[in-house]
Amino acid sequence: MQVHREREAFRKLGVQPVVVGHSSLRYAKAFVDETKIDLPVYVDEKRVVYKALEFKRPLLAFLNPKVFKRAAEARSEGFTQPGVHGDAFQLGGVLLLMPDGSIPYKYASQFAGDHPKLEDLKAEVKRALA
Amino acid sequence: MTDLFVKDLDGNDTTLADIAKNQPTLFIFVRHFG
Repeated sequence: MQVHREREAFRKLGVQPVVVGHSSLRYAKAFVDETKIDLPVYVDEKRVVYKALEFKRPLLAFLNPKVFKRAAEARSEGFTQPGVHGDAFQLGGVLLLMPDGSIPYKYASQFAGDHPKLEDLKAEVKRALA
Repeated sequence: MTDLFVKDLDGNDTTLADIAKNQPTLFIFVRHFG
C-alpha cells in the first residue's frame, strides 16, 4: 500500500492516515499480523460506509484493460495480491475528513487497482489544510 | 455519513467522525485486505 510507505510524509502534512476494509475482523487482524502495517485499521463488515460513500461495486470491475495495466504496475512496485476476502467486486476510495466534519476531498475508485496518485493526494491534502 | 460505524481491531464500534475528531484524517478504503 503506497500510503503506508509514505505514512510519515502524510503525518508531516498534518493528517493521520487510517485504513478501512470491508471483510471481517478476522481477516483484518491477519492482514495487520502479516503486513505489520503501522496504521490504524478499521473494518466495515457490512459495507455500510462504502455504500454511504457511494463507492462503486461494478460487477464487471475486472473486465477493464486498465485493471491489467495497474496490476502489472503494482507488481513492478513490489505489491502483490495473495487473495481477496470479502466482496471481490467492491471497490474502494479515499476520504479526507476534517475534525469539523467537512470532507474536502473524496476519491472513488473507478476500477480494480484505480487509486489517486500519491503526489495528487499530497497536493489535495496540502490544499485542504492550507 | 460520518456518523456511520466501523469496528476497530478490538471489535469496538466507532464512527468516522470520532476517528477524525482530533486531527484531519485520510481514510483509505481498501478493496481488500492483502
